[in-house]
Amino acid sequence: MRSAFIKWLVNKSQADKRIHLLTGDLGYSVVESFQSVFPDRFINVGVAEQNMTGIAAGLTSEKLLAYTYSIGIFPTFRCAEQIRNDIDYHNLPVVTCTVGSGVAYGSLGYSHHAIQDISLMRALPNMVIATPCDPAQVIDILEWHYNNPCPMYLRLHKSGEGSLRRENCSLGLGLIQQIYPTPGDFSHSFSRDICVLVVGFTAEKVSIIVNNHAPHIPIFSVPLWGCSAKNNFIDELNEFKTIITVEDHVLEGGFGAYVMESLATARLNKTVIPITLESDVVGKVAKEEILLAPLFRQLQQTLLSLVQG
Amino acid sequence: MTSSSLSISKSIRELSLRLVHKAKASHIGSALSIADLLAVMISDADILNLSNPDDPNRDRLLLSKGHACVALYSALCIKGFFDVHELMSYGEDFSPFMNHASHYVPGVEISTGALGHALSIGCGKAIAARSRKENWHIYTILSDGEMQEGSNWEALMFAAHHSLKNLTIIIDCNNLQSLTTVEETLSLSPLDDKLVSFGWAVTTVNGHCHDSLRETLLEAKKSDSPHAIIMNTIKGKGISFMEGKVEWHYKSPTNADLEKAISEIYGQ
Repeated sequence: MRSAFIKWLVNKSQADKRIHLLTGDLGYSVVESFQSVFPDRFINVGVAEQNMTGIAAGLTSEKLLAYTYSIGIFPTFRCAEQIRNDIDYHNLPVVTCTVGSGVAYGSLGYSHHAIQDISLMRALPNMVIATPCDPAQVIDILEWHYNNPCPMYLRLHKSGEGSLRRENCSLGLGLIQQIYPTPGDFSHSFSRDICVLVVGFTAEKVSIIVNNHAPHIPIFSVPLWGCSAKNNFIDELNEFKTIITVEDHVLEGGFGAYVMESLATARLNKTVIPITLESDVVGKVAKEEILLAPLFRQLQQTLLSLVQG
Repeated sequence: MTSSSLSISKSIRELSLRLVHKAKASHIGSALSIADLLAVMISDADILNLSNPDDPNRDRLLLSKGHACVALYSALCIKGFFDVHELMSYGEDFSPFMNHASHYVPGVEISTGALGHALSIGCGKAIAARSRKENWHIYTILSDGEMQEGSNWEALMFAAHHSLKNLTIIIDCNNLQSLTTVEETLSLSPLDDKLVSFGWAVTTVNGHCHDSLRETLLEAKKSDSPHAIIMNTIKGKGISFMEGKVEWHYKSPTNADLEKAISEIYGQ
């Protein structure tokens, strides 16, 4: 995903001199391709995320475009007030781009686990939360933002994500994108009662699990959402009675909680089953697949119980 | 020029007092300590080119110590960006003239209130001006207590590293912060040496002497490095019973206080 991000940025910057990339001294082997071509528009601010975020606000307040880049927690929690007051309140189109969603940097410890970042960012009224499921969606999201400037939190995984085929690919704020069944798959009759909504890179693994255990349940990715999108989002879900949500984030303030809030606000009586990182993940240090295993087990058990139901 | 700025400084003081009195608001002491600075700035286009808040080539004035907004609102009102009637909605429910600097007010570049924000934004603006080869200047007014925020020191390092000579900061050293003196709370001394060691050109000035302010501001604008003006001031300056008193960070003047204060401004 990070390669898709930087490739898009380099391409776009050829024609658009407004684009600036800021990093808080991170992005080794990623940002160099931008830096080498646009040295005047690449700013390594040093290990100083508060300043980086304020500078990005200053640049965009003068009609330039700014993308900040760092590992999950650093350009969000460390500078939460700058994001809240300087970017979001002034409605400035800064893209806060993070790598290492969830427990992608599992072995690096809790300081590097971005497992509460969504809860922070989605509370901001103008902030659009962007949770791509694969590298192609990263590019679609960046194009969308380029044409619809706004404060945006772009939550990337890392690298090595597979590509998912998507049907009905129109991308917009609060719109869902079908990732399973894949186009032309007529092997099952698909449920209109139950669906899975997934944010972020776990979509690929979620597809495999659903295909294995409940192949009649459709899966949707939710690439762009946030405070201002709750209504359009609800319209998209109207037909489903049971919604399973999956995210590499804790329950509190996460995507599943967003779905529950949206439904409750709209007075819609649906069952939401949030599949999230469990709270005891805090402080656990291990490879990502180990830390994510309980999440996928939880999904599998949920699907089996619904199928056997 | 000086007589004009003196007259403007009296108007800023009077308007600021009337605003906090009407709204029963705080922070009059912090506003009074920057009244002379703002008067000098808005009375000389060579210092602050700000005839039209929408002019892309205007100089940018950022009030990092957003709690002193009544002084800024008053100065902008005197500049003619809005009339006194609008200004007097200050502090009313849903007024754009909120009790910290608001970007919904014409001429106010950014909203502030939480300390330690505007200097980084100023750095971003300075980079923007430079990348577009535009000649406007960025001024950021900070408080001395605010210099305890770590974010300011990140920005100070950045500005010097990138030689942002189109950026000037003015630190309002009135030596009083929320509970007591700066010295007693968390000393900044030696502030000038610290700023010099961070790569800034530094000038110390009496923040109530208009001639010195004017000379220093003009010099800063021509500087070939980012310039810090350490502006020594008196909190509550100009009103005898407010000067140097921490309680005027909070209190709003009574009717009698207001009458006495305004008579002091005009030497009656």
